[in-house]
Amino acid sequence: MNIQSNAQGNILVLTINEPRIDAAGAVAFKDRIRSLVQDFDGRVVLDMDRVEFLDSSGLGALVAVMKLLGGGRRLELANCGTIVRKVLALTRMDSVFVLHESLQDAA
Amino acid sequence: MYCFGTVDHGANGVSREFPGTEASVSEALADLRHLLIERGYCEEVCANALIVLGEVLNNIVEHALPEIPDAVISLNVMEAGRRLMLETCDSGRPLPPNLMQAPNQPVISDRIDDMAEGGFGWFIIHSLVEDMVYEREDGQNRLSFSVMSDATV
Repeated sequence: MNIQSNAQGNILVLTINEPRIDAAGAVAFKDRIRSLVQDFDGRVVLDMDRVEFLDSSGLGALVAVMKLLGGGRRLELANCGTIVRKVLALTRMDSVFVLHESLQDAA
Repeated sequence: MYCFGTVDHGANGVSREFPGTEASVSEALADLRHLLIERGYCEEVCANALIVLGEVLNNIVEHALPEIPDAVISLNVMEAGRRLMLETCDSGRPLPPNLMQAPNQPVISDRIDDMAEGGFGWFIIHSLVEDMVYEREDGQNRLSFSVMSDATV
């Protein structure tokens, strides 16, 4: 699971270098992010630019990641593509995560 | 090991067979996505087809095919006007009948710890598909349904 981590002050940007967050990779995704966000207490923004596909298992992994952030922190998503935005909208999860058009918008 | 059947039904049809595992479903969907884009399908119809297929195929893997090592899923995609007609077939166990019922929206709570992490799959399917048909015949599951653009024009 290729996820790049880049702390910019109070914001941790995690670049998801994978085309899919789906049932086949949801557990690896969750485990990798858990190790990356450990000991970070600022905002966490996922750069979703390369993610072409998200299914319900991937969505469940995003919810799980938000839970492990703790402290009432919302998970933030930037650069979501067509399918990702659609899955978030259908499940109303676009009102739960904080969505940004771009990383600049997230800054 | 992933193998890819390539039986084409007509110029606009796509027919595929692949092992009934999460990894093979993932690869088959990635492949189908490229094929649909290459054929110039409207982005919205492609998105709807891939989203629903992802949920349907993973449900088949989870409910019909666990502990069946050589299980194969066959998938047919046909074009019919502005719709894509989709059909899956497998020789696994019968699908649980409650899967066909429209489920409730999973819990969205102000308290993050109370939020649902599952139950989104069939909610997504029923949000995008109105004509899901499940048939059980000769030891096979067959699901057929169609997707179209959200636009009603």
